[in-house]
Amino acid sequence: MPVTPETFVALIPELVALGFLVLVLLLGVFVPRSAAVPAALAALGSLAVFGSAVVLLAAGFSGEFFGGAFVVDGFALYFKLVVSASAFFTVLAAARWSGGTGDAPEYMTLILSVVAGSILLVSMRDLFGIFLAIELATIPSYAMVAFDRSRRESSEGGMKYLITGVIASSVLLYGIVLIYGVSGSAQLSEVAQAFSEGLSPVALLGLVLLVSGFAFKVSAAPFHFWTPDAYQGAPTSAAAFLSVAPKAATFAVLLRILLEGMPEAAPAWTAVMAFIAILTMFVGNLFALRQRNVRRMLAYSSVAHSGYILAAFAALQGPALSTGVQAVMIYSAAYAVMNLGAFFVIDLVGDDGKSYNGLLKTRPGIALSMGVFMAALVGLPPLSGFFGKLYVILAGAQSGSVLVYVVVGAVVVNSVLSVPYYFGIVRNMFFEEPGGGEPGVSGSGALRFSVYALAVATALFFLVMGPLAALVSGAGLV
Amino acid sequence: MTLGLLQQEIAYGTLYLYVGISMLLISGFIAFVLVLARLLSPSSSSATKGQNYETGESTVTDPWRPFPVRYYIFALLFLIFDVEAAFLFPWAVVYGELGLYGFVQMVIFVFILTVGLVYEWKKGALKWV
Repeated sequence: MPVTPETFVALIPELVALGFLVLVLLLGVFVPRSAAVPAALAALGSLAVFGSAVVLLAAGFSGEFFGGAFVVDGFALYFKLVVSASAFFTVLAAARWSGGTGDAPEYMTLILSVVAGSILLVSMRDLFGIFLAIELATIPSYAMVAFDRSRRESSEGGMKYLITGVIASSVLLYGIVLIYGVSGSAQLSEVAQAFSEGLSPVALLGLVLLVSGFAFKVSAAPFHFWTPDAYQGAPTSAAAFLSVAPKAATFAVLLRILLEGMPEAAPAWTAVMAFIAILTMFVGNLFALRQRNVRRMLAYSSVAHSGYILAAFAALQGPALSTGVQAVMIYSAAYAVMNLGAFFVIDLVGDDGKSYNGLLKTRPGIALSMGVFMAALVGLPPLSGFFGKLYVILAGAQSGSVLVYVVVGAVVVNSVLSVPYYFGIVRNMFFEEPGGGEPGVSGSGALRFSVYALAVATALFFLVMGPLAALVSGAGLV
Repeated sequence: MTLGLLQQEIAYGTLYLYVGISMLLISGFIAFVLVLARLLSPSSSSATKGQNYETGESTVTDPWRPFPVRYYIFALLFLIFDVEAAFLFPWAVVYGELGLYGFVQMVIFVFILTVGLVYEWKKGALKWV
């Protein structure tokens, strides 16, 4: 019998997410016109997923299930924590807005579907399972982007995201099928055996298509074109959530595929990653410099930050292997707290850069929080973004490869390049006189709570760095 | 393993040779038949031949115009039950061997589909508007 009681224990986070998903959806149709209840239930569901992952992690639970296709280890559980915590703050921030659309239960259901897909994704060890989980996380996200029916840009962004996303999925699937054809199995351990005999041209083509498909999903250049339009059109909470949670899960599963499925091909894929990382960082930052719209600027900034994480992928060789994995894990958590917060401030203040003028005088709390997020996105110590970049640079320095040194140099150059556009906002808030731009909204208490909580988490990230570093060093893939 | 049905001494890569050969054979056969038909058949066209075939009606208006959205609801409902049936038939064939495990799995699957149906029903999607 393939199913044992342990299987259900291993699946608890996924089952909890799916259970709450069904509950929220049915609650929406049986108790109409209640905006607060679905949001509260969805927040409770995110917390329950978070709690179950914490319990599994604390109990040291690990194992393989369904013939090795589903794995629970510290690495997977860590990313389940990142995803569910991001979902919790997103639900809080979206509570009042989604109530205003009249479709709050549907919006919350979509968020929980993305959560279910993402936490399933990080546990997958089978190429076809990975594809299914990616689609489970991506298909609801198309609907999330197009959810705001009162704005035309939302439909436009959703349509662009859908079309590019479907093309990316087919490219990814083609890569998976080629790798399956070469190795005769979709299990990562058996794929690794096939790749150990050297790279055939077909396997290389499969690898390139697979990496291209993933590059689309994490909005890495030159596959980033959907990002600004999708994030600008999307409801702010959707843009915030999609730039953080599914992206972290996608990075995690890409790491698992590359390290467990094709470790012997590391020279090939680290070179590809180095190229993509450098291109992504420069494209993201140079385009972000030109933006006047804060939301679009943050979309390009999320492209740039994908580049920083991909720089850690390029360093996954030689003695830097474990530091590289830790860098991806730390960066994902650090980016989640600062980026979610920055997007939520947009929800409170507005898209236009002028709306931030003199914010320190009119709304000091929000202005200080935004200042913390912007400084963290630049990477100033001791804020969260600093530790992410620190680990990336450490991993690069340990790798002993000239190409990776170039990538690390690009990380440093790009951190400097990003200063003007992040600090442009800070200058507007701190030194300009109030006035100009549309007035912001006061926002719900839950939204303001999210902003302040994330600002505190970003500012005091160094306090959790000790336990977090211990967690990721014990939970890494290698 | 995937090779279970075939003889073990055939190398894995060689299996793709059969796929390649059959693809060549199929496309070669289609091309051959088409060329043969073009060479052998007499060709004469007339106005009567250009008309719509039997049950095909001639269009009276521009066919590119909006049609009622309610047909999409039928399509969606059809999708739910079609997927259900597609899974139920093979399941029913091997039900005896699966036992309780297979039964519980199918109950979960049907339950998830039912949630979708309940949602549509309560949303009023089943009303003819």
